[in-house]
Amino acid sequence: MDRVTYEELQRQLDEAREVIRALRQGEVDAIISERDLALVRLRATEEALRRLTQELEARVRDRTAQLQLANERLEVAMAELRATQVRVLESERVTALAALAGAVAHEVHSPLMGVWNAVGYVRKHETRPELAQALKDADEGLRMVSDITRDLLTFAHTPSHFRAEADVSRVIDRAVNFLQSDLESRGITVVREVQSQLPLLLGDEVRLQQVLSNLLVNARDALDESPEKKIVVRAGVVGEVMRIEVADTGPGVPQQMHDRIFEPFFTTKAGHGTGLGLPVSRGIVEDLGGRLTLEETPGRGATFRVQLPLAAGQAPRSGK
Amino acid sequence: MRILVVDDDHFARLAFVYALKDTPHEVETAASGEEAVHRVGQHPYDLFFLDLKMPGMDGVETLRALRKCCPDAPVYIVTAYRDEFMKRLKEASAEGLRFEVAEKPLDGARIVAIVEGVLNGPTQA
Repeated sequence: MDRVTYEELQRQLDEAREVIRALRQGEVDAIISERDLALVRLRATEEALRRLTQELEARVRDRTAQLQLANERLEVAMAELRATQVRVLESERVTALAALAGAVAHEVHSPLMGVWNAVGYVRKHETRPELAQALKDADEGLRMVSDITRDLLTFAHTPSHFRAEADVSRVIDRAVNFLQSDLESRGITVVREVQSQLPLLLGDEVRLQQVLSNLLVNARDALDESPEKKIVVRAGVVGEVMRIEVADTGPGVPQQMHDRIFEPFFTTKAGHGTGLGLPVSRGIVEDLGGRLTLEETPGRGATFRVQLPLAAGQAPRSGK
Repeated sequence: MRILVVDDDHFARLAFVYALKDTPHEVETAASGEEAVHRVGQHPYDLFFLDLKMPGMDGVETLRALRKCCPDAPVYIVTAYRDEFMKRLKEASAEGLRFEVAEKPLDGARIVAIVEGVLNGPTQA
């Protein structure tokens, strides 16, 4: 057995310790590096998780926004649907009213004409002033009823497809002449500014005259309390369009009523008027392929404008 | 002129009678298409006003019957329902039956105007 010195032993022990220490260090290093690795992995996982969360949050935000948009669209659609429903109900109501009004007007028409013509006949032969005045009053009342039944009949029935050459200046003359004495008695002057040599239209003179009469009666009624009482009727060709205007010096139509005046049964005339004059007129004009509008003339009375396509080559097609 | 007014409505007939009372024309009335046909068999007329919507023979049928005996006299078909009967009027027109349309409302002045027009205007060939 070799003699082992204490120093040698000590040295070997130190060596062993060193080895152990180194081993431990290695272990520790290994442990440390493993820990670091785990940490790195953890961080990566955390990072991935964070990204995932962010992504999720972004998607949630996205989806929420989409939902919100869809919801808003749905609300708009619902509002539109409700408005449409109201309009449908309204138009059903108007259609039903129109049918009823038309039926009543049709029934009233015959006896009315019989009575009116009988009154007219007696009036022509009555010379006693008091009776003649009474008959004149009766005659005027009956004319008013006749105008109302005429509007109701036109409003209630399908549009006329009757088309013939229509002379606008003749229509204007007839409509004005028809009301002339009435207008004069109210101190209203009518000025006609009609282009000479107006081309003919393809239309229906009787119905066009009805439109002119309605516009003139409206103008007349608008002038009731006006200091200046004047109606200007203009007609002329502008481009491819025949333009007819009836302008009055009355108070004009308040802005908020611009759309409503074309609604059936809407009237501003307390006590008289069926509220059909303008919708009926617009119907007739549109039926002829034209437009009836109220032109803006602030502070200068009301101007109603009829625009009709000229006959040449662009006659409105019959619906049938 | 001798005028025949055909309408099932009493007041509608009266409207013509009163409107034309001060004119030199003779106005007779018939309450149905059948009565009109019967009257036309007795003597001729120069002008007819014919309601379109009548029970029994309606205006178009009456027109067809009238044209057999009076091919040339002007016939005014009076109606407030021009479109409703448009198809029938077109058929009548296609058959070669001649007629004019007088749309209701027909007031006294228009009745007189139509009669004067027939009297003064170009006579039907």
